[in-house]
Amino acid sequence: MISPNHIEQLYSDPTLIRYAVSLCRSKPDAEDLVMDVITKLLENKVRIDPQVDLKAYAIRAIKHRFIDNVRRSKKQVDVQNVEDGSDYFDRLSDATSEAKVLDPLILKETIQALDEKCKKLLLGFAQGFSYEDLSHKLETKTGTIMSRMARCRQELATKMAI
Amino acid sequence: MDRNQITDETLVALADGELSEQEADAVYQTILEDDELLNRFAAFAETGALLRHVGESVNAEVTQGDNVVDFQAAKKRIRIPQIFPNVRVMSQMAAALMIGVFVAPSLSPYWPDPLQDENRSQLQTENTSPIRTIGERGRFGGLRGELITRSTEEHQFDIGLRLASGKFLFNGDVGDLEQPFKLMMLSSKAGVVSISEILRDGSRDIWIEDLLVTANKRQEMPSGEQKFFRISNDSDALVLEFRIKPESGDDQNARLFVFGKK
Repeated sequence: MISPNHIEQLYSDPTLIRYAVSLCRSKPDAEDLVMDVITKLLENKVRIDPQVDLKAYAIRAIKHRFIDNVRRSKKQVDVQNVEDGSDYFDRLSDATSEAKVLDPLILKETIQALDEKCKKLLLGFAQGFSYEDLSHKLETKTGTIMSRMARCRQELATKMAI
Repeated sequence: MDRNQITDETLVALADGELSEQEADAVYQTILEDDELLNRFAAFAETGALLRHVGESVNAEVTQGDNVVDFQAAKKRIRIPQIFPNVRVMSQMAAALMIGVFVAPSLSPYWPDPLQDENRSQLQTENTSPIRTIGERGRFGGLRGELITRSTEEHQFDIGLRLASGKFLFNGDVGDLEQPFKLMMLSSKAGVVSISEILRDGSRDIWIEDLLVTANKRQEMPSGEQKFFRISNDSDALVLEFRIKPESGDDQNARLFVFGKK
């Protein structure tokens, strides 16, 4: 069972809010999004082994929640795409298995298996470098960084089943 | 913006905060109207967040060698997406929001021993109103009492004990306090000034009285707007969700998380 300590760890980590902001482009909405996910975890609606990487799982859950929210906001004009009000957590059958797929160790192994250009680029990005920083470091034009980033992230997403 | 103009490069740049504000707004509005773009954008954002998550652990053992960027040299140059300009400020805000309500021993380097003579002066005999009961019995050092809270400044709370003698003991930075409840305010949109608890029919009912609401502006909830909440007992954590109606603007949702023994 997820304990308050786990939730504390999630909430005290600014990465999740920053990530949610990148999705919502609004800090209040981002906070709501993260809180929605934390609420679901707290309510034990999602059964998940606390030993798995909760933050990685939260990243996944936030994405799905965001997509659900956007689709719901369009409900009146596009009823077909709304799945009867169900959300990610309703549809989820096994959160622990999903979370294990997102294990950082698996991600690192997946990165290591990519080609050298992608490996350099993604590891640099993982360390917090901007595109401009990466452009200087890799002595590559920013435009090339951008297109390579898209290709490598797509490849990573495919391998990670994201 | 024409959806055909939006490439993977654009989507990943948007997710990573690498577009100008104007371009980002235009792309984003188009994405919201297109499920396929939305999914691709969200996937890029997810991979970005996962990469950043593992970034700290991607250390020397994988960065050594000529095929990998020298990450250590420029860590100070981490760039935050424009929409969220200062992560440090955010962290401070989050911490500030939780002062006094978010009980975390690690945040409390010093909690004076109330049994020491010099600390007994901290015991207060005056009720520095408003003092509210928030829990059953708390313990602080060798002292036991009723767990209480009082508001200090906006979004800030003290938690303390009301001793059997009727005296109060407060410390804004709550630490080694064995208490039946932890209060954690997880939203910048609202705060709870006072809570009283009623047990009824096996359920835990909580009356939310005064609310601090959004935009760093304190507003008191009109008495007619007070809500009564019934919390189910099927979780270790009680989650209160309530809607607040500011004097201006839209209704807003807020939540209070209460952890504790049942």
